[in-house]
Amino acid sequence: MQPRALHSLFLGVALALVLTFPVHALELVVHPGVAEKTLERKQARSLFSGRVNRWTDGSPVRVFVLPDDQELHQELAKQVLDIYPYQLRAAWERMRYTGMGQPPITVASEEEMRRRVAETPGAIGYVGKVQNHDKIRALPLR
Amino acid sequence: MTRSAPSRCVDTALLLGLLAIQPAGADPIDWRFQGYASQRLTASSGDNHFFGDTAGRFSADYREVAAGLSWRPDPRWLLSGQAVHRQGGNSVEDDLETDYLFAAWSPLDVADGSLTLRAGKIKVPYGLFNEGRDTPMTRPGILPPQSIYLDALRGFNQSAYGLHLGAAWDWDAATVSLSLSQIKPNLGGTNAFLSFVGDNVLFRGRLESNNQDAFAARLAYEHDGGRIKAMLSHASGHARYVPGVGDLWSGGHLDPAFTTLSLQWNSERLSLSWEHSRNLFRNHYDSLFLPALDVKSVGSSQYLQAEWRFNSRWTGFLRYDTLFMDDDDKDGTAFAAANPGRVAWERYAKDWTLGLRYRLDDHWQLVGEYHRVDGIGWLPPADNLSGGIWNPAATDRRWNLILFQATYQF
Repeated sequence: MQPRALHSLFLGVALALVLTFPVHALELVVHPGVAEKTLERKQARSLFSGRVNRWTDGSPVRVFVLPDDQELHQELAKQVLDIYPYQLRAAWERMRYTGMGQPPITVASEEEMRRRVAETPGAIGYVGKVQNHDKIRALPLR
Repeated sequence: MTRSAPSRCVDTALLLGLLAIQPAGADPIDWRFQGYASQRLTASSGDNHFFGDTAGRFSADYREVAAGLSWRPDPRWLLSGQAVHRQGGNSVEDDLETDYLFAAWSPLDVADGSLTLRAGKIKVPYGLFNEGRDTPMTRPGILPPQSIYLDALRGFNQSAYGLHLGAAWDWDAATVSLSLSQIKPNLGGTNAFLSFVGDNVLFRGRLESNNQDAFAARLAYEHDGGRIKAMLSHASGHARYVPGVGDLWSGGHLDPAFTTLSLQWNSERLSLSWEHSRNLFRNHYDSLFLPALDVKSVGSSQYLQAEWRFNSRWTGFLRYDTLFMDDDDKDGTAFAAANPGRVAWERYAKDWTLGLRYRLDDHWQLVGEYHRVDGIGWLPPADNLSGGIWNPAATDRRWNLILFQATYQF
């Protein structure tokens, strides 16, 4: 096979993969006052599962999530936290109805997520992509 | 002991107090309110009643309503309380009760681990399901596996006053947690008495326990965000037998102990759960004119459960669950031969369960399940008394149980 044909084939396969498995961007975001600059995956899991309630400086953590059936939430669970959404839901409901903790606050849309995280000290959430005019800060995983 | 009316008033006052102390400047985001209401339709075959007048007819006797709140005044502190009103035949003796009410303090709370102390009435961590077994949304079916999570003994093994220590350590792919609880078990009620003593004709007294008469511990390992869970739980208790009027026995004590091994595997569609429990019963009774009586038996509980998530709304489950009161006499024949008037099938229960759950949204859920049971090992005696007497011979050995439940939660 000629190099040119091989190149075309590679591009075709890559394009097919991209079209078949759409990749969605997701960024963890925090209130600008949060001191953390990066986050480990296990920290993210502890925060979103509701087990850890304060940042390293001692200030309270407030967690915001989207409804379970939204694609961005599915991606947070599976790609970022490496846990199934039904497991997160089960952990939150057990926490809520046994009084052992306070589960995350569910917001209706990404727009509301941006607003609530921006106005709530100690807040963490997630959006598709941080926009220039957003008053929230991306918190990359390390 | 069953909570008395004055102590319920104290709990109610504390719950209301928790609500009333919300300072004007407190952030509303640190307050959470929650509750649920559920209604069951239950039908059982033969003469066996299950939480209500259910034999041969659909009964709507069982319903529950719960409401509670929690407040996190500081990241280290959490105050939580919930009251529940429950109705369901003679087995539910305490209609309105404090489900839980405690203060929690977390001196350590970082990504690598946490340490929390709780004081008050807490849901006792035990096995895979004990803390969440009361909430319709957090268990696969309507009834949790009865061989281990007996609804007839709910007051004894579900929620208790005491002190609780919880610790967790996190690694990249695993979490290890330890729970230690020193509690006062609730041994009030006909079901607890008949389950532990076994007879209310020869034994006319009641059971009493002191503060901190029971201990429960659970060591749990969770791999890969809970895909694999392994737990070892142990609980032991002590209760005094207080003689009644005209009692043959002048006193005594009961020292039961339970040890449970739990395994669970979760994938996107399928969850498999298996638990095995060794149940030790040790009863000692003294008498002024009879030789002292010692009763000891080692029994076992075991189930295997498969849950299949068809999609985010529909889940089906299948379970086989067995309970044996005495592993040396699994079919109960030796017991029946030694105790005239008693029957072999009261000493075991073998239960096939098939169920389907439909979750409409975050608030509503409908569940239906069918049980085919051989034996009455976990049938609540209080719903099946004849003239106040527990007569297992009047029950049916092989019986069916059908339940439907609608739940609303907020």
